Amino acid sequence: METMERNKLKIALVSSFTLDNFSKVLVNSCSRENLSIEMKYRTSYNLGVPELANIASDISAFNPQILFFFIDLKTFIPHHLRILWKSKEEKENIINEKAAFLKELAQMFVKSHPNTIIVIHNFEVPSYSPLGILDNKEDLGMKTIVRELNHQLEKQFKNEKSIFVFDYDAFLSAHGKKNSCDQRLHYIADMKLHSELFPFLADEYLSYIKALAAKPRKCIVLDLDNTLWGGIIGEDGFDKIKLGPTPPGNAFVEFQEVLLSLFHRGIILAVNSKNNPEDVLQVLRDHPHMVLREQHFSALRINWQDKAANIKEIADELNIGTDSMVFIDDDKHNCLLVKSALPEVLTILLPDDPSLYVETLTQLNEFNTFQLTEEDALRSKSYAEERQRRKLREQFSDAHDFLRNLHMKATIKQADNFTIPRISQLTNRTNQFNLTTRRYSEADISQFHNDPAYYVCSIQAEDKLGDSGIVGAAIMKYGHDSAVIDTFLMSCRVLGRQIETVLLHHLLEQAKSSGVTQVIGEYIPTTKNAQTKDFYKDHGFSFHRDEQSSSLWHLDLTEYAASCPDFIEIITEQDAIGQEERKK
Amino acid sequence: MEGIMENWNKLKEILAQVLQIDPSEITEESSPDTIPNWDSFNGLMLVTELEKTFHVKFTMDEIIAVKTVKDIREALQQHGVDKI
Repeated sequence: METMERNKLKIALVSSFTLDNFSKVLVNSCSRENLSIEMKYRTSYNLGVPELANIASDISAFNPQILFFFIDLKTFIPHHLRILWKSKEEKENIINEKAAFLKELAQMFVKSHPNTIIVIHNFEVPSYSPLGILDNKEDLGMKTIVRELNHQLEKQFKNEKSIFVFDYDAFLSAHGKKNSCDQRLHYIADMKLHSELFPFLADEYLSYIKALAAKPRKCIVLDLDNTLWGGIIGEDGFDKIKLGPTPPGNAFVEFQEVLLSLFHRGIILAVNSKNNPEDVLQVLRDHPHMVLREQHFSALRINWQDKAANIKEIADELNIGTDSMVFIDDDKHNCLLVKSALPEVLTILLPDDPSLYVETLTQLNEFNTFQLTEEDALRSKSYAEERQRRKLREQFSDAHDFLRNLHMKATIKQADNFTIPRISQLTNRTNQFNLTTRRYSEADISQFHNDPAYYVCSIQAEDKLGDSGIVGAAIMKYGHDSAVIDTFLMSCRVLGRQIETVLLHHLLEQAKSSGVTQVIGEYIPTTKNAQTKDFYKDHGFSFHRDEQSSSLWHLDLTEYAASCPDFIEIITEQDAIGQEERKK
Repeated sequence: MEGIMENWNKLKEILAQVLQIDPSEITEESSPDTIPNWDSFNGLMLVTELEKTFHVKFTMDEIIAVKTVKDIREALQQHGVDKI
């Protein structure tokens, strides 16, 4: 919240026709979401190179965080109906040239502004073809030409991390192409998009702006009665709740399907319901038409206490901020209560009509991020598994017996192209178990990885309940006879299982085999990492000295007696060539 | 009395709102030349608002031809709006 209010976001829009009023709508939509933006808007009517170069230098001086290109089909391909009659080869050439033009345009900006996100509209697939019902019998019919161009845009930018294609054609289809343009205003004033669609387009732009400015939401907390199913389980009973293939139960099944798809994207699901737990568990476990089952939920609060208190408990249990949560309920009073007690939670009051539930959910543009790592997608699953671990833990009085029972496996891997994005992400997101809190970009990590003076590795954890993915990372820098641990961090959801000890042990072994005898561990205190203060001390290091903002801990490897938990199976995957280099 | 000029008053209200002026400033002779806020963009806003209020749809030619408030009045009459 604070950062949103402090920083004005710089947004630029370049369009091929007049859109002055749209920029105003966008500014208003942003301010409704507490995002304050500074907007620069330019029009290039003919997309000529000198004109664009002019605009480029204008925009460059502004240095936007997001740059939108809204180019319409008629400006981009004048006389598109004439192209249809050209040879297949000529049509292909035109498509390639047009795609290449946009590629150059985008890359020109990316080169001079590596931190600008570029969003390019794709093109409206025309509804009309002179070939009529034969349009798709042609090799490149009117519609296929534009679809092919759109396809090429997606293809050519697929691996560009800062260039995004906005599916404008799908946007128009969703709102109805026929009504997306007032033809009179199109001819009179060059307005190629109906102003009634401006707020909806602004919402689409907000998906990108929010991904940049706001913390993405990562957890949906759900009511049950009249939310996941129709009726009240405590009153209607297992057989009578509305859930199944017939209406209105099918609307609830469909709603759950969308929630399940969000779960697979990595959104954590939790339950917050006033009910008797036995009634609910019976439905979760045995109802034939439930889509969401016990294993999809990371936390369950089924009790009679107020829902705001439950949400706070869920946040604590999952160790996530309440500002990353969405709460969905059909009850006005519950929603009001949560809204006033926890305004940072996004509270969604479901409409009276269950047939509108899906739309309510799919309209949310709260979950967007500019990248999705494998771990993001695994997150919801591993949080749900975590709940089962907590349950298992309660069955053991001795912590060691519990850990032994988990059958843990840790895979330590020297950084490679697959793990570098995740390592960078961990350095940027981990606050609590992070000894130095140094933030590194992917480029930084790659650089360390390619430098023989550094050793970068990650640790992946799994056990009998599931795979948590890459949960920790370390960076070590070699000096003449010593190595310094520059970065050492662990995702807090795996703490208490001694995986951090395994990682440290690995680093020390690594240092030993590289021929150094001394290891220095750094600790930089922050407001959030107090729990790591004694990490080096607890692992046999002795206090070395205080530096300006850090303290240094020292270990003599010649006196180091290996201590590593025996209940974790350790697998190490080394980059053998890198190892050789270092020895030389 | 009430009702005779009902739509004329409605028209003046819309003009005043879109052009951000006082309704008393509006006469039949008012035009983009006499009201500075009446630019091409506000002109199109007027079209949208008039169509919504009077449930009519102007043709492209009508939109192009309209130059003064009197023209608007006549165009509305053409579309069957009375009491104006």
